[in-house]
Amino acid sequence: MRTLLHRLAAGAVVVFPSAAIAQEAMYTAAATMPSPGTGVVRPQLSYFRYGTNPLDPSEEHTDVVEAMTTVAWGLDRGLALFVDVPVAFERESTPGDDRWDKGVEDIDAMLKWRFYKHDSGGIDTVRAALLGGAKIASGDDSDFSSQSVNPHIGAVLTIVKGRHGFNQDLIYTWNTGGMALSNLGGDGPDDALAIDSAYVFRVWPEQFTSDSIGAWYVTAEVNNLYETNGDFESRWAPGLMYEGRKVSFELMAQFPLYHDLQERPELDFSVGVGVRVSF
Amino acid sequence: MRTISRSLVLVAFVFTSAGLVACSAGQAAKSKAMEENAVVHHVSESDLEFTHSKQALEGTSATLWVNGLGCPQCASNIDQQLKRTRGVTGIRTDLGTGKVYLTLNGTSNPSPFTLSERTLDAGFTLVKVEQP
Repeated sequence: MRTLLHRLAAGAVVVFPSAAIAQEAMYTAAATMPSPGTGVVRPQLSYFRYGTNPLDPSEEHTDVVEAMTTVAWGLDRGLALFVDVPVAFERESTPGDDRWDKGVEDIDAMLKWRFYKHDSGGIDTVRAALLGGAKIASGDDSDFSSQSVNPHIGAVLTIVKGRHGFNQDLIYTWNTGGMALSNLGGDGPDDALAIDSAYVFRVWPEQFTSDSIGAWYVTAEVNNLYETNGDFESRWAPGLMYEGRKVSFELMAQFPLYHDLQERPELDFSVGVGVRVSF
Repeated sequence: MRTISRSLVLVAFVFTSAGLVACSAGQAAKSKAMEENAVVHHVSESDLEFTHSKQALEGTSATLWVNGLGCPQCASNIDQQLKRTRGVTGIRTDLGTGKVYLTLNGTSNPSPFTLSERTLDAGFTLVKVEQP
C-alpha cells in the first residue's frame, strides 16, 4: 500500500511539473512560511467556469484558465515575502460568438509576519500571523489588470493537532481601481473581505515513523467573499494533497455553496492542480 | 444545466461531508490509542535550561528533541537551517519521534544555544539536547 502511494505521488509529481508551504490548503492561507534564506515556488493551474454576467447578460458564461505562480521567500525568523503572478486565458461566450483574450492580472506582493507560535508537542502547534501587502497593476489592459494599487491586510490562524489541521484567514482589500464588468470576485471597484476556513486531515500515514518522507492529506475549505457593493459568495472546496519533504502537489476544486451576486457572474465550478517545490 | 450541476455539487458535498464525518468517527475509536502514542516530549527545567547554554557540545553526535514538527515539509525546513550550522556534518529528522539526530565534526561543535536559534529560525522549538 505504502509503495503504491509513493509511486502515485512520484508519478503525480512527474505529470504536474512542480510543490510547499507546509500544512496549507489551496485557497486558505496558513500561518506557515519558508524559513530565512529558503524559498518555495508554487505554480497552480486552475479552470473556472462562471455563469451569466448580470451586468452584461449577453455574456452567457465565462471560462477562465488561470496559471498562478507564487514565490515565497523567508526574509527573517517569522517573516516571509510572497509574490503571486497570475496569467489568465479567458473566453466570454455570447450567442453566436466566443471571445478569447489573455493577459496578466494584478500582481500580489505580500508580507507574512508570524507574531505568535506555541509548539505544545512533537507535532502539535498553534500559530498566528499578520498579512499585509498590495495587488499591483500588471500593466495589462483593464480586462485583466485593475490599473491601480490595491492594499490588503489580514490575519491567519493555524492549529495542528495530531492528524488534524485547521486554518482560518481574514483578509480585507481596499480596491482603488478595477472595473465592475471584468470583476470575477474581489477585483472590481468595491472593497472586498475574504474569510476562509480550511480543515486539513492527514489520511496517511496514520502516525509518522522514522521512515516517513511524505504524507497524504484531504482538505475541505469554505471560502467566503463579501464585497462592499453587497455581493456575497460562499464556496466549498474539497482537495487532495501530497506533501513530501521537498516537493508537494495538490488537486483542488471549488463549488458554489451560496451566493447573492448582483454585479458579477456566479461561479459554476472550478478545478485545479498545483505543485510546490522548496529550494 | 445549472440545476443539474447544482444537484451534483449538493450530492458531492453531502457524500464528502458524510465521508469526513465517518472518517472522524472511525478515528475517534482510535483516539485513545493515538493519544497514548502521541509525540509528547517530557522535559525537565534543567533540560530546557541546557538549550540556552552557549558552551560548545562535546563528542560527534547529538539528538535534538523538537516540538512542532508536524509535517514532512517541516523536516525539510529544519534540515535546511541546521545544515548551515558550523560543526554539523549530518542530519536525520525522525517525524515519528520528533527528534533530529545530528552528526558533529567534533572540533568546532555548535552550542545548544546556537542549535536552539537555528531551530527557531526553521519555525520550531528545541526543548532538549541529548548526548550519548
